[in-house]
Amino acid sequence: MIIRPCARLISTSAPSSSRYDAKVFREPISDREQLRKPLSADDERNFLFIKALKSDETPTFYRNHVVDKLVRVCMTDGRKEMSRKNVLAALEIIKRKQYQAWNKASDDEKPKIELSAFKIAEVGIDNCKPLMKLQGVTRGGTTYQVPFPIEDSEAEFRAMKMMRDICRQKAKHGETFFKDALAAELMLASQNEGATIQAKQELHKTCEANRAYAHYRG
Amino acid sequence: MNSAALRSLIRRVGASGARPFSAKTAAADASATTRPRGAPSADTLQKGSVQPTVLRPYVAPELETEDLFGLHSLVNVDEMFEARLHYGHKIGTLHENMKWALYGERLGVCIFDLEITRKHLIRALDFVAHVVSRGGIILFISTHRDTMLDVEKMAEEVGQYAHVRFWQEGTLTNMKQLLGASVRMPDTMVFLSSLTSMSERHPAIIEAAKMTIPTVGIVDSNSDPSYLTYLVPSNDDSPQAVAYLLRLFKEACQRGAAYRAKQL
Amino acid sequence: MLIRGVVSTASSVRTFSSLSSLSTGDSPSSSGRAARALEMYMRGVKEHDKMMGREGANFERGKRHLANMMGMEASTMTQNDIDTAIRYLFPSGLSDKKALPILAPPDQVLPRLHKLAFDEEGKPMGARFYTLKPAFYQLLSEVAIRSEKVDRYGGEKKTIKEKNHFQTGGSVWLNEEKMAKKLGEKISTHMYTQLMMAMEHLISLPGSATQNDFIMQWREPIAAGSGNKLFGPPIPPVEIDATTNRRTATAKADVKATYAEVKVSDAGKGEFIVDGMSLDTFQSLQARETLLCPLIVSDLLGRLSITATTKGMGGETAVPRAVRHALSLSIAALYPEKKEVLTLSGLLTRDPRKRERSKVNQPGARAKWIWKRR
Repeated sequence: MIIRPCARLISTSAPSSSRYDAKVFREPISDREQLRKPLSADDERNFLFIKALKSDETPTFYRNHVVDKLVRVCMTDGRKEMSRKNVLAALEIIKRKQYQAWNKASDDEKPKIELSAFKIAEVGIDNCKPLMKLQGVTRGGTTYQVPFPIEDSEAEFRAMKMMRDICRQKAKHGETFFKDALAAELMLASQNEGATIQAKQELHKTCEANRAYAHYRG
Repeated sequence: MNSAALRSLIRRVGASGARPFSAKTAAADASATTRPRGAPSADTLQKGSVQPTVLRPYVAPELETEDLFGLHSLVNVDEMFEARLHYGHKIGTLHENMKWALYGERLGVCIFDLEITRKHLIRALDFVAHVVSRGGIILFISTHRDTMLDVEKMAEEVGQYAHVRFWQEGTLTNMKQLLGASVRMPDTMVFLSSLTSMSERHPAIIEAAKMTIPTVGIVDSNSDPSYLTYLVPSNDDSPQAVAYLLRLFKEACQRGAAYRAKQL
Repeated sequence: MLIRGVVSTASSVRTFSSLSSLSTGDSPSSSGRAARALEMYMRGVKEHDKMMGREGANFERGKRHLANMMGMEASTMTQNDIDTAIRYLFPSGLSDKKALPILAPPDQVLPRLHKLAFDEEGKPMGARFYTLKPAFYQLLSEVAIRSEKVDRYGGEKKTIKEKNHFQTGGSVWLNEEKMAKKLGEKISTHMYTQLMMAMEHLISLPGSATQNDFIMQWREPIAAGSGNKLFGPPIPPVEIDATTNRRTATAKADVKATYAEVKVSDAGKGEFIVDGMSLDTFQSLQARETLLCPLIVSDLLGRLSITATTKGMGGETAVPRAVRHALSLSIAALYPEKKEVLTLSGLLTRDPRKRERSKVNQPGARAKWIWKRR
């Protein structure tokens, strides 16, 4: 949400409010199945305003939360089309690879091969989700890396960010394309292998090592 | 002082007219002399502060009639018994100054003497009726949660006033500041329950005493009867008892108002 | 009645004045300290009324002058017109609204005199007068009486549906300020809490729906979203072509600096023209999704014919967003049964987001210069 201060105020610090009044606005429904179901009579949304739907949340049948979020995370300088092109290209690469494997596989192995690139991406990101994060807490001049618990949405973001940074590293200097790096990473992650999974495990180890600093929380 | 001097002192005191008041003599006095018109002059009032009997001719004829409103027949012991007026609290909570009103104790519960209650109740009802007949304001007070709404309803029905809520300190003593203007104070306050929900004496009793407003109080066996003008020792907790008392007070107010309407 | 003894204190003046009134026929208001105070109060009330009359006359005269200046008719001038005229004649850069000049009827500007009501004998009106908050305690008593009534007759039903509870959806209790204003008395927080407890208890009883009218007097709808009001431009009217009987609606919407006007007709074959160009001009998948979103949600793909025109400086996504909003409004006009789905999808709300201004000493709206410790 873009936050905008009142035009009349002369000096402002960033206000912590949204353009939508929180008391009066609720999130829109972007899920097709949920839209079909009618609202119960005493649901508060009958009496409140609904926020405007975001452009990338159209309730199509192919709407996928993980892929949409990955597009946003991989975006640079606001070039969403570029990012979407990359991510969908990566998914296409995954699909092609999987189909090749499927064609080559024997009849009893065929059902075990996952053909949906979306599913592979979901599983891959899910496997990369860390359970904790490290946050710097300064006490008496020293900054300690303290492990903090995190919500599911933040864990998802951190997984995507780790994967994005690793893919950008690989794609630096033009040796590899970003889409190829991302496709490879996603496929490996769905098998619990790859650099992102390694990074996640490193993070977990550091969190475990810094367990003693946990009392600096709060 | 020797006996002769003492006797002459008594005779002199007797001669000045400081003898006990009686309705017969008052009536005789009134009929003997012509009734003065209007309020007593400042001079007479000054004399009256020393020798009250000087003001006796100014007393209205209504006050010389016993049972002007026929309330003696309204109150009877059987009805009071049915309405459970004789039940007090447990013997352990009995207030020292309420012992005079008890008939006795039964199974640990104080029992009021309904003859005494009857006498006091008639006196209180009569007073209330007289005040209403002179256009007085009666304020009914009760903080008993079960019956307070009934008290309010009764007060509204007879065109009087009720206060069954939290008593703001200074409501009577500091009224000008609280209301922003001087208002007419109640002429009598009737406490259907003289204790608050915290089992403490209701603050309005002291305020009424400070403002010299006569009070009628239904006192239970655990209540402190001090500072109340007209006591009525009775049960103030049972809804039936309170309903009975409210009915009687309503009747007294209505009779007083009817008398006033006839006079005007 | 037997008198024990004649009252002998000096403060018996009051007693005697009221006692003698009956026998001598004098009115009580002509004597006594309270009566004199009452007279002072009545005088104060008369003076206040006179003052209000004067101020009212001043206001009317001012209004006539203002109308003359602005070339309007004084009789048809509304308060809105007066406010506009004053803002025009006295332009001000002051940010505090209370510092700006106003011309309004005196009862809206001057503090109200709290009038105490008495009858000619000086008796106050209202049985709860001596509680000092008669209106508030009357409300409290009424809630108690209604609760008792509901409690007695509402408890026999078994299921929740039968239990007939008051529906709390869509409304909230009046807050302390509004309650105080409605009752015309100051209310302390403790008193307000008491009232809320009583009201909540009433609502919790089965059968409380019978007291719906009473309870709704003390509740207000949440914001303005009572189902019909939209945040943004309204749903346009439907025009029916006389010859073909075809229904058309034209809606206008804007996103950032882009303005879109969309004309939708039913009985179409799915034509979608934006600025004279068809949908495949939009190469971005997201743009196409956005444009078709209202049709997907309301399940009208291929059934309408849509023509959109845009104006303005908006960016890549602003055009589809504006067209989407206007298209949703038109569909809601043509098919009222689809309105609920469209609102729940968030398609009938105007997106208020705009570019955030950059601040001084910062490179942008949020970004900061690199922070150096020394």
